[in-house]
This record gives sequence, structure tokens and C-alpha cells, in this order.
Amino acid sequence: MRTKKVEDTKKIFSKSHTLLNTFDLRDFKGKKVLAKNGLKVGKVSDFVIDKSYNIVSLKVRNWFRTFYVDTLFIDSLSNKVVKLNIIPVVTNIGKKVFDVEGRYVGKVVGLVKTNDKNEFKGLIVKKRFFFRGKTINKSDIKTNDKNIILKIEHVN
Amino acid sequence: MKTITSDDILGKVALDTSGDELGIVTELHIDKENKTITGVTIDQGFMKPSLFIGIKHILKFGIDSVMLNKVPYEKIKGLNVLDERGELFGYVDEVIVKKYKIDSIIVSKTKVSSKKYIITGKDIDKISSDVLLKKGFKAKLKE
Repeated sequence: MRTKKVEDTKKIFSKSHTLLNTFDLRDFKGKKVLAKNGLKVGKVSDFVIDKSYNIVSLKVRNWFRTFYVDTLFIDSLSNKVVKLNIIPVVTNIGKKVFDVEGRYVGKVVGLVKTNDKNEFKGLIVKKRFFFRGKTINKSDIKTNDKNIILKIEHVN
Repeated sequence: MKTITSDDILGKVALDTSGDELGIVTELHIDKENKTITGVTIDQGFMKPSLFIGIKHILKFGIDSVMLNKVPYEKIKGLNVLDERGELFGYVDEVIVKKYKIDSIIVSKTKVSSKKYIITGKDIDKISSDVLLKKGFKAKLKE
């Protein structure tokens, strides 16, 4: 974070601005992004700027997965970390799913969403790569933390 | 009466209440006199100590997994401790449990540091893949 005042001769602004407590976008790239529960969701790979030159979202990359997070969901910024005030629903992808009888149902490969919000209606689960995906309703989920445990029995 | 055999238990993955896979069940412990199961041993993986779980903490012997009814406090050891901004404070060295609740944790700044801090359970916000501390937490230097 910039803590020293920038000399007036080096600035061209429409209004007076000290530039104190501001960041350079370049300092953000590569920073770890943490969800509300402390889970690492990825790293900042880029920014999205609209036609009015406002930063609308962060582009977050986690291995081969890329997703966009609205800047409204940024809780705090520090030297190394961007902390969000939500748990992005995309973090459900890759979790294992077990039913109430301890039966392994599969791995989450996708989400059923009806809008761009941080909500999902269901999960698409596959037991093996070439198998057909099954949809699990959100209402059938008992625990959703490291992995997912269902309230119901799921017979294949 | 539905019965199962040791084959239905051994080799299965053990899940805690958060769905976290703790390891594989490798041993079944039986009371020699009463002929009852007293618990299971879970192999947590390479270079990690095995975990004994008493039968009272086993919720169900499931079809593909053994489900526990608690989150073992031992698994918190070694986790990162993050402050309210998400910055790394240290690593959990020890967990002190009183009356089945976390009373405090002992945190070392680095994995090889001898300097340790005590943080009470009240200052812990969440425990998941890391331990998140509350805003304004107090860390007391351990003597």
C-alpha cells in the first residue's frame, strides 16, 4: 500500500488526491484469494474494467479453473492476501459426495445455477470420468464443508 | 439382525462431521473379555501419526466409509493460523482441550521456532483448512 504522499508535480488529476492508502493493480496480481472461511480459492490473475473505467471484478485462477468475483465481495486487502466476505460456490467443485449411509456418490463436477449470484440450486456429481453426471438438489445436502454429506440415501 | 464383518470396516475411509477424510481404517480393536469393539485405528498417511477413535465417536459403519460423530482435535495440529485479514500468524503446535472443547491452542511462528504463543479458544473464529482468528485476538507468549 502506498504510504508516502506523491509529489504534486508527478500527478495529473481532475481533483486533488494525495494517493495515500492506494494500491497499484500490479501489486495485486498473484495475490492469494481466501474465502470467508479461510479456504484458499485461488490467486488474482487479472482485473475486469468496464467502459466507465471502473474495476468491476477480480479474475481468480485456481489451477485450470477461472472465475470472476465482484469487487463488492472483497472484505479486506493486505500485502499478500485478498480476503473475501463470501465462500464462492465454485469451491464446491472437486468435493467428494457421500450419502447418509456412508456410500460414495461421486465428485462434484459442476453446479446447477439459475443466475450469476453466489447461489446454486444443485450439484452435478460423477462417480467416474466416463459416467453420466447425476444432479443432487441443494435441499438434500446435510453438511457442506471439506466434502459433502447428504441427508438422504443415494442408490446408484 | 444385520451383521457386518471386519472386511466391511477395514480399508474404508474415515470421515469426520465436516466430511473431511481423515485416513483409512487399518485396525479394529476388540475388548478381549467383553468381546466388543472398542475402537478403530486410522492411518492418516505418510509421516502422520495414526489416530485411535473410540467406538463412542463412531456414528456409523457406512457402505464406503466409516462416519464419525465428531471432528478430532488432533487434526488441527500443523494447520496454518491466520489473522482476521488472512495473513499467516503461525502454525498450530498443540491443542489443549478441556471438557471436550478447545480451551486454547499453542502456536509457533515458524515450523522450527522455539517461540510459542498461547491463543485462547474464545479468539478462534473458525477452523476449517486453516485456523482463523477473530479481530483483536490476544496471543500470550508461552514461557
